Amino acid sequence: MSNGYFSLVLHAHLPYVRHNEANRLEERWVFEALTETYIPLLWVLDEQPESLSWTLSFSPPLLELLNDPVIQKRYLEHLDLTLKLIQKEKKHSAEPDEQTVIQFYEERFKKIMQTYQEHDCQIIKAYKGYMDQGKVDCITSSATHAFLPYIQTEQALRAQIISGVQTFEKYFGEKPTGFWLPECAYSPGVDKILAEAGIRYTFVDEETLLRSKPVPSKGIGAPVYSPHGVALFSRNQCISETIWNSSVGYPGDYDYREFYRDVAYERDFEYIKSFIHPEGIRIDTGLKYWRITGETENKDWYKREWAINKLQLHSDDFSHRIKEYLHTNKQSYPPQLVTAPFDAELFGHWWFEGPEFLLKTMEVSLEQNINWITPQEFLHRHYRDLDTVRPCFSTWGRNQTGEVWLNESNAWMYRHLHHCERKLVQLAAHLSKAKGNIIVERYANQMVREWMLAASSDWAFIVEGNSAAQYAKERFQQHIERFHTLNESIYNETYHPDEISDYENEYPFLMTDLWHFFQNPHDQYVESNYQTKKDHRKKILMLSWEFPPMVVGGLARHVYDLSRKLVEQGSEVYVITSSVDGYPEHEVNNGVHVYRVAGKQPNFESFFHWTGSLNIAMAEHAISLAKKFDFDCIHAHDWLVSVSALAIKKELGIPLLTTIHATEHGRNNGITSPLQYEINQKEWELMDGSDRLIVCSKYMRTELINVFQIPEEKITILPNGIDPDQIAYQSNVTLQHDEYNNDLLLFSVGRLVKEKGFQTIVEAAEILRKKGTRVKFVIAGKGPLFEELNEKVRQKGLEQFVHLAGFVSDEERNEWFAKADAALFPSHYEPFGIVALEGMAAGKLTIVSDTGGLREIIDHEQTGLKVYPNDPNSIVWAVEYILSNRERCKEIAQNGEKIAKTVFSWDSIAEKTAELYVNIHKNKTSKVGGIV
Amino acid sequence: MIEDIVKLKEKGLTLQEIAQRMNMSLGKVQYRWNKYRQQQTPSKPELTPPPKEVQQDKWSMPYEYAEANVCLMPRTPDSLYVYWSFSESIMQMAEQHFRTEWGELPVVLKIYDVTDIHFYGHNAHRTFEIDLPPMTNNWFLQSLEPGRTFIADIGTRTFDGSFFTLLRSNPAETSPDPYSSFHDEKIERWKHEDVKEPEWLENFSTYSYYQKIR
Repeated sequence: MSNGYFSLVLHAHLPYVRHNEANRLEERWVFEALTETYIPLLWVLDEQPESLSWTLSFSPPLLELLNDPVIQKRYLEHLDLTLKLIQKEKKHSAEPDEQTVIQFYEERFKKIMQTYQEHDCQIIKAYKGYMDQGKVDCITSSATHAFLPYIQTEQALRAQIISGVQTFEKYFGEKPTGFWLPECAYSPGVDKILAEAGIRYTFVDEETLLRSKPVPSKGIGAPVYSPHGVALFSRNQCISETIWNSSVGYPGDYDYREFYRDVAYERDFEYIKSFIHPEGIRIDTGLKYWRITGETENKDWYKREWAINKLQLHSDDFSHRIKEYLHTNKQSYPPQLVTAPFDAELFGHWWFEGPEFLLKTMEVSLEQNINWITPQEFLHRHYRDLDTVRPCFSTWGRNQTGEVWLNESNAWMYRHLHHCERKLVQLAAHLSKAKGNIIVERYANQMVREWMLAASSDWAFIVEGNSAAQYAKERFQQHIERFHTLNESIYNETYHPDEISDYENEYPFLMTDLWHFFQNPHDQYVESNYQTKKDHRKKILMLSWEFPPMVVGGLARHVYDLSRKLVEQGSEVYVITSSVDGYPEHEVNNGVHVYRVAGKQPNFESFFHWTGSLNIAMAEHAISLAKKFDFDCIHAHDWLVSVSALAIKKELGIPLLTTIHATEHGRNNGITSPLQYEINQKEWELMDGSDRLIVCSKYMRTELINVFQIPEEKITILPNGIDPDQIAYQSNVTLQHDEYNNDLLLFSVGRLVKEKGFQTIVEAAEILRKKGTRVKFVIAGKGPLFEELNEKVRQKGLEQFVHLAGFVSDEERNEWFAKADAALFPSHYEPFGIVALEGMAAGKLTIVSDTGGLREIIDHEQTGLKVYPNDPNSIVWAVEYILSNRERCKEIAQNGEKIAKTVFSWDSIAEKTAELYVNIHKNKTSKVGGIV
Repeated sequence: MIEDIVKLKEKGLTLQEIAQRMNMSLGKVQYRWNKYRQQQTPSKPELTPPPKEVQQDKWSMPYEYAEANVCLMPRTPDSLYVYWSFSESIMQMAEQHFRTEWGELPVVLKIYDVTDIHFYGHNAHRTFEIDLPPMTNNWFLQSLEPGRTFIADIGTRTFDGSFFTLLRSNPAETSPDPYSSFHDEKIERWKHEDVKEPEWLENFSTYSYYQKIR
């Protein structure tokens, strides 16, 4: 039956150029388009053959303009003035050829006036009438003709599409089935929202189909479905070019009317001045008496009958080409479809005779049996016969790319547009809870309008093309600035009904509820679940690079115990720490909010830069959390979080308290390598920028004062705490009587690094063996010295005396504590010595080096024993002391246990820490350190 | 030159317009203007206490916003566009981490080909770096391979030359060449509802203000 189809699609659009002040030049764009295109197209519809139908898109700005009473009134005045000019011209003209043209215009303008008045200035209503008769399918486009792929957020895309559809509904009383993508610009994801809006079809360039995955089986011969089920009709370039092409297209024929010659520029100023712009600017009157003539400046008179003859020729040619194309590209099913979409204003405004060409072409098509079809009808017949493909980003612009709307001249615009989108999401998040303030909601709606008006693809296009570039830039900038001025009024709470009315009146566009498009469920969830309660609970932002289950040193445990105790005592604690594979990004652990974040380069080879990367992520996270949580202060732990702690302090303007657990200088007994130097600097910056420092011992305080010149009054000593439950040995099984039970058993645990002093134990064991003392040392832990120590034990044949247990779990560690007679910690450097507390809390006699923080924990021969660091004979002394004072040692151990569980309990430490949080506001500085 | 900028600025032109009029890059104008403004600010602020209740300046469109942001946009089958801006805190952190003034830090763009990859920072198919001229806040990426997905990092260099990321963009695609694919697994799985979410990049994501709060 059918040998193919032809589908004509016109898209009518003007940017929103209504201004309250009269005589704006840009308003003339509406008048010209009405006179030359929108009214003549009504004549086409009136006269077109019954059986034909085509598709016409009206952009929402155009719908609003054509229905605006101010525009309607001004257009009538404009027509009056033109008719007056025609009368004057009639009198003025002496040339018969000219008089003929004037006569033509007189009749034409009278007809325009008559049509406009017949329809009570309601042009859109007139079109709706023809739509109801089945002569045309009307559809619409996005709210302000935004270039959709260059919108950033889904919310903004939805606002553009859905409010476009709603505007159409307002004027046509029904939803459109089709949608015009501004500039035929498609990108993946646009179809999702179109489908959501109930749109069944839209238009793309043919290249969009050819670049799809997979290439459609019919190539460009049939529409396709996008992944979300919207039918895409593709622009047939070959057929479109016959009209579109500026050099070989029909509109350039010498017999057609010349666009660029207007009587406005031909007459004496005095003669014409009351018909041009009141400020004396010569602007088109619409009376153009000449034909294109040729490539010459000397234009001949427009000869109406010549133009009509050419129309016949060109309509025949066009129909012939369609027919030939359909014949050459015959395909089985569905039949070949040629879709020819154009800007509506091409017909009439740019190509004066265009509407008549369309009418002629319809008549010729009918004679030649070319089947016209609308996309709607095509889908009705063939919806089962179409491929589904994945089309890519493309447009109908130059090279089918985005380069016209994104190039050196206009790229700067998108930064501002995207910024507005995010501001609107932010505003919507805040508004969702502040229900009921009608004025603020009007502000929010107007902000959406301003963003929409700035987002019109026209501005980028005009700036690129340089015609009216100044106006486009001004309009763009004006809307961006109005947007932000409104935003400031909301946030400064200076909003006022008068102000917002002024804004609304200036651009009375899409006067519907718009801001809710920018809401999203997550923000609403957060708003309703995290009410800012006015309670006295302190909100603490805790920064630590390690947190369970990531345990590298004692830091993780410390932060964990402190945090949960603080929560127990009534603070809110938010810990930001590094991410751990397999652990949640957010969890609430014993009431502590834990956020685990990863740097953007989580495998950075250099540990130092890895921390830098982590810090940027931590700060970013903290600042985001602060959008909702009003943190009272920051509590940072060690240099690893220095960079983020200082940045957050500055950004949020809250005090910073830092616990220094150890220093690079202390660990290495001085600074020797460049990396140590960098770390030392970070430590200094952090200490300098903190408002208060916590250290665990007098020893550490002295180090901070001597090495870093930190003022003494800035430092508070709070010991580390211990949780007795953590070292309780749970097993009910009685300890086995194994080989150790007869000997004196001394247990040590810690990382096998030099400063822990485990090598001294080996030396002491050697002396004790010589003396014939039965004693067994067990050293648990791993570390770089493991092999060296092991080797030493073997060389000296001390296997019976010293046992390296390697890594032990907490459970095993507790078992060793339970079995042992004493705990031994012979460190050379120990800022605090939490392990000693664990030994004491386990109820064991605890022997420590008389150094660092260890020295301060134990009272010699009262709560434990002290030995000299790095002195094996001193350990020998301690062993012998135990052997000869068994009873006394039990008492000492009991005293030790009591001290550990009271003085060093987390309860008292957390309480004192919380006091610091309260007092820190009194001596807060804005200092955030400098770069050294 | 600065006198001309000041004159035009007093006439109410935006920096953008001044740049165009003087045929200079916007960056240059911005730079000179900022420098001028800094010089105008008295070095001893305590001598001139700020007058209270000054008429608030009307909000005017800035050259860029002081926010941490990178946006990568599709453009042609072989080019993409990226623009960015830094927040005060990112700049401060970079200064502090490298102990170097912001202006002294090199700005480098690193492009990752992340086609069909769940990218976490180190697993791109291919990468390349572009050393940027100072005062740049946007770039047209040219000569890219069609039909690929890219991510752009804005960063700097460590002293030993490694790239250090400060900001990371969204992914964006170059359009494929015509007739590049005659079969597509992803659309098949999607059509047969084997997957819940599309396995390809959709340009738009729901932006959430409280994104990081759970």
